[in-house]
This record gives sequence, structure tokens and C-alpha cells, in this order.
Amino acid sequence: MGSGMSRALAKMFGNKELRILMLGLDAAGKTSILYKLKLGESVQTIPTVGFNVETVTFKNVRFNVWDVGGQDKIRPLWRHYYAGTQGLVFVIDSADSERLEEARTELHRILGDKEMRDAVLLVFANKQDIEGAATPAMITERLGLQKLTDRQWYVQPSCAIQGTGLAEGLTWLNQNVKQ
Amino acid sequence: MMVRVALPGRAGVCRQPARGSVLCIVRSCFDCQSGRPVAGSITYGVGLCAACAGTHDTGSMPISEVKRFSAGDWTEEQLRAFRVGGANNAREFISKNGIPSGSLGPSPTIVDVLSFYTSPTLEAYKGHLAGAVAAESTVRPGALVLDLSDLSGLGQKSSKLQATMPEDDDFDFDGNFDVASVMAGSRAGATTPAAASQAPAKPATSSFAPRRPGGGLGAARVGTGLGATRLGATPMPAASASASAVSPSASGISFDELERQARLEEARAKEQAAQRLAESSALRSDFMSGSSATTAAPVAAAPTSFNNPPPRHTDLNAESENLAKASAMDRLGMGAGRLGFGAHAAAAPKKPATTFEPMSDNDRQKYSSAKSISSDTFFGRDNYGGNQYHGGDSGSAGGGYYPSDPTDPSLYSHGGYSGNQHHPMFMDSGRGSGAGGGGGGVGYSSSSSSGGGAGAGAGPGGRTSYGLYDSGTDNYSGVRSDPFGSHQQHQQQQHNHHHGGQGMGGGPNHPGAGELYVSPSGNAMGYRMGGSAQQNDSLYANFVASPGATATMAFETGMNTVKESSKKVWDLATDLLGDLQTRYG
Repeated sequence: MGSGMSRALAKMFGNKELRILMLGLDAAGKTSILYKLKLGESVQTIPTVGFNVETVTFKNVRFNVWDVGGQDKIRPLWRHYYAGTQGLVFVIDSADSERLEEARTELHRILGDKEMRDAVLLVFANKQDIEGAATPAMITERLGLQKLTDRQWYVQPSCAIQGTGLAEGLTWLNQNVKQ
Repeated sequence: MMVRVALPGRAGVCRQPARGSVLCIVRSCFDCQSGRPVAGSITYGVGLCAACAGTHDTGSMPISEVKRFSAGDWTEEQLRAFRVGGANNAREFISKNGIPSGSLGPSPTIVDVLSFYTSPTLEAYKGHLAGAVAAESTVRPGALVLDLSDLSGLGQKSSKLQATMPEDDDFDFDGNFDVASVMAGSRAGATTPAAASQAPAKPATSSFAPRRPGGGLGAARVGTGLGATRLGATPMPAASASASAVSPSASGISFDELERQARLEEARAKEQAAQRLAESSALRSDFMSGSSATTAAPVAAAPTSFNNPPPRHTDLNAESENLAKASAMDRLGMGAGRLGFGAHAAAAPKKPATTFEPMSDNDRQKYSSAKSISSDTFFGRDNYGGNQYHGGDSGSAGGGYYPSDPTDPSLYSHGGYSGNQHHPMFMDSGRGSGAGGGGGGVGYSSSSSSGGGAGAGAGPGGRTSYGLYDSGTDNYSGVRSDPFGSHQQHQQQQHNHHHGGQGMGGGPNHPGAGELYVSPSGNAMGYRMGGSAQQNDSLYANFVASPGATATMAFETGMNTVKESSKKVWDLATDLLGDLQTRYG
């Protein structure tokens, strides 16, 4: 009873809520993106130990964004955040080509988890303001996305400082997350 | 010089000759009781398998000081923790002083481990052990002991072997832990400290004497293998003498054999490392040049980077043959590799997607200028161009409440970098939902305070809390692996504050490991109701595995909106909630 009623209510008021998990290597810009989305301004961040979570309302959709620290020592904790995730936002430091391999490994490890099998993948190719940043095509290739035929994914260049690309990413998430 | 050999029978061996040769033999992991121990917790004097050691050393708040047996810098003091500690002593102490409510099982989760080691008993044992170590180091400075009794299966006394000073044989740490040392004057030979450690167990080529009748630690063996020759040390009359007292069939480790095997493994590891180096540099040069053909690059040309790991990573490669271990490491994830326990290589199953494959030249050309690439466009699943956005509303939520805004240029202009500093579409939801990063292990707070259900409160050591503190009800509530079930509202600082010196949480909301947690009734419900007056935005029920919880949560979501828009509907919703309470309460 309660379920049906609440669904009706949710429909009535246009409540849509997406659970988004934001992961990526350390210093990729996850926290910057989160607070750019949340506050609309770029903030000076420190390496996240633990996580940040914010609810970002965007075009009537509430994005519950979990930003989990990406340092290698705390990556084992990522899996604790997998359950219930509808969209994975994987943030890449496009200017750090040295670590794209590492990012790929981590990404595929995440996607291999059965808890994440239904999550769509948004890749923010972040730090596009830096000269020499990898293009979306390069990111796609280096991350091995062309092999990901059974998943919805999207590579979106972004710049957390300026906020470019973030809206597009969320819009894609909104339209592609399976409800 | 180090010798590390994986003994058959899941034991780890460490020899530390920096100040005399020290041999550690640990039979099993203290936490999971099954893994092959590769590291030791100095704090608790017990051995740990790779996965559990990673748990201990995870993050910025290690549970205990963990050191890999293969590490080159074991000190006598550290080994003494095992000498006076050991699994049996620890277990005995625990059983005498109160078994923690969240005891460890076969494959403990981080939460299990956290709550176990932050329990008062274990905290007490930590102090107890530290005291014992300090006491012993004054009583018997420099004395370490070789005890092979447990390996021999014979009487303990008969096989005690003491190298340094004559002592009474009152050491009693049989069981899962043996520490042995032979004081030898100096080290001999230099090997890379990293490589040889993780040789997969090979029963067939076992170097462990008890499996071979007739082998063992006879006097001759000790003379050549253990003592003077191998270690280049001064003769060790004491060692030889007591060794010869040991029956040859009683117990024995052929150190000659161990070292030889270790060297083999080391050579193999180096070879693998070189191979990986070559591969990765080939990949890099391949991509940089834009060519899709993989050409080998000279090894020397490759800059050192993350994927040219030090040899210690490759020894894990060898370990990946061990499937059970691999799965255990997979559970642990990436970090263990960084910790030196080698999860990384072993944990990653070989999947096509994880190996680098260049795009076809066609694709490369096609998408080279694309502003963004999606799976749909890439695989031709829709008709939209490479960077054209799908403008239509998916309609999946019904009601059309969030159609794409056709007037919003940003949806179409994927040029993207025009510098719209503040995107107008981002609305602050207005209510703080942020937990905030917080310091130290805050991440543990909601992510992993599961199983035991309850906060493993802060211990004397000032660790922060691992539990969720529900200010509404003064209850600790665990949340199982579902961050979304956690109370986002809580400021982490508040958490920590509350947990201050509280020790083990516990209390009524403390069900067994792995289940959870707060039923949709009672306190949790009360909390949600109570809090919703001020904080209706982000109150989420804990709904893992509870039948009505999803409904409850959805209900709340709806309710919040209702409240904002209409008092009338709010009343209706309250009735509904009351109904739910009746139903689940």
C-alpha cells in the first residue's frame, strides 16, 4: 500500500532521484566536481579521506552524489559504496596520461563487480583546461571503453574549475539511468 | 638478506638476519584462520594473510601496525611481539577477558575486523602485549628463539633451539605461532628485498623437511645451511649443539633449500618484471604515436611509472595462480597491492576489457574530434551524431516533469569550454546533505559499519568512530554496504565527538554480523519522523534487506515534497506513515 501510494506521490511531484557514485584515481577532481555541482563555485579541495556526499538538484532531478576518496590505500573501500548505485561517474585526470592505465584497471575492476552491473557509466575527462589533456577519443581508447558493449557509457570532457561539461554529464545520466 | 618461502601448509617464513637471523613461522592468519600468513600485526603479535593484513592497514587509520614478513627491516623488538605474543596467547587472553561480540569468522569484513580490534578486550590485549614485550626485552635483551616444535609435531621441549644465550626452555608459544631465531654474526649475500617472497606453495618441491623422511635439521644440515657457510657467520656452537640434540626426523627446515628456492623465485620475479616493463612501454609508445600496431619499445626507454611496478608486484603475479587467494584479494581490492600484499595483480581477473586494445584506425579518425563519445554513438545504437545530444526526454519517470530544456543551449553546444562559470541549472537543493569528508576514517563511518550493526566506538587510541550515531535516538545503527542507507545528515565531526571515548558501541541494535540492522520500525522510524521536521530533505531510511524500507524511503521522499506544497496532503502522508508504523512496528 505504502509503496504504491508513494510512487504515485513521487510521480505527482516529479521526484526523481538518482544515486550516483563518483570514483576515480586520486587527484582526478572528484571533489572539485562535486562541489562545483553543489555550490556552483570552484572550491579548494584537499585529498578526500573518506567520502563526501551531496544532493544536487538539477532539472528537477535529485542526484545523490557520493564522492569517495581515490587514494590507492582507500580504494578497497569503494566496493562498500557500490550497492544501489545507478550511475557511476568515473573521473579522469585527462592531463595525467601516465596514470590512464591505472585508471583503466580500476574502472574495469569496479565495473566487474556484480553490484555495479546495472550502473551506467559516465566518464568525466576532467582537467580539459590543461594543455595537452587527452581528448575524449583518447580516453575512450585508453580506458578500453570500446570493449564495453554491454553497458551504457558516455565520455564527457569537463573542467571542474570552470564547470564546463558537468551539466551535459548530468543530463546524460538523467536520461540514461534505468529507473 | 632475506629468505621468504611459502611453506606448504600455509605458513609464512621470515628470516631477518640484520641482527642475527630470525625465523618466523606463522601457521595461519589470525583473523580469517585460513589464509596463508604473509604479514604480521606487530601490535597484536599475530600473523595475517594478505587480505586481512590489508584490512588492518587500510586507510589512514590502521588497526594495527602490520609488516610484511618479507620486509627487510624487522627489528628484534617487533619480532619479540610475536615471540611473547602469538595467536594462542592472544586467544587465551581474549577468552579470559571477554570475547568481543563481533568475533571474526572465516572471511571477515572490514567491519568485523574493525569492531573486533576496537573492542575493549583487544585494546587491553594490545597494552598487555606491549607491556610483555617491554618486560621481556629487559629481561632477555637480544634473545630470540628458534622453536620448531610445532612443525615437528614432537614434544616442544625437545626441539627448542636457542642460539644466543643459554636459557631455560620455558617458552611456550606453540600453536599457530612460532618465532625462531638463530643469531648469526652477519648477513651474507644481498638480494632484492622484494622479489622472492610470495612463491606459490609447491608441495611437490617442498623444501620443508618434515615432508621428507630423512631430511631435516640434523647437525650437519645446520652446520652447512643455517650457520657458518650460508650466513658467513662465525660458528655457532650453541646453535649447533642444541640442534644436534634435536632428532633429525623431529623437525627441520633446510635453509639451504629454502634459499635456493627463494633465489629461483626471485629470478623468476625479475624476469616477469622486465617483461611487464617492456609491455607497458610498448603500449605507451604505441598510443603516443597513434599507431595501432603494437611495437616493442626498448625497456630502457620507458620512464618509470605506475605500471612498471617494483618487483614486489610481480611476485603477486605468481600468486595469482592461487585462486582462493585471488578471490580473497579481490575482496580487498586495489589497495592491498599498494600495501605490499599484492592484491592488485592477483585480484584482477584477466578480462578482455582490461587489456589495452587500440581502437581501429577508422574509429580513431571518426571520433578524434568528437567532443564527447557515448556508447550509443560508438556502437551505432542511435541516430545521433558523435557529439549531438539526445534532446528527447526519456519519459521514464512519467509525467514529464523534467523534460530536456530545448531552450537551453548548453544541451546542444557540446563545445563545452565556453566558460559558463555558473551553470544556471544547478540549483542548490538547499539542505545540507553532506557528510563532509572529515578526517581519518570517516569513510568508514557509514560505509562499513555494517555487520556488527554497531559502531565500534572509539578506542583509547583515539580512533574515530566507525558507527553511525543516530542523534535522534541515541542508537547506533549499522548500515550494510549501502551508503544510501546511511544518515547523510550527520556531520562527521559530530560523530567523532560523540564517539569520543565511548569504547565499543553495542547495545540493543547489535545484531550478528552480516545482517543488519535497523528495522523499519521502532527507533529508526521514530528518528526519521522526528528529524523530518527540520531535515526532511535527506532523511533516508536504512533499508537494506528490510522488506518495507524501500517503500518507506520512497514514501518519505514523496512526503517531503508534499509537505512543501500542501499541508493537506501532508496530513494524509502522516496518516500513511502512521499506517506504516503500525504495520512494521
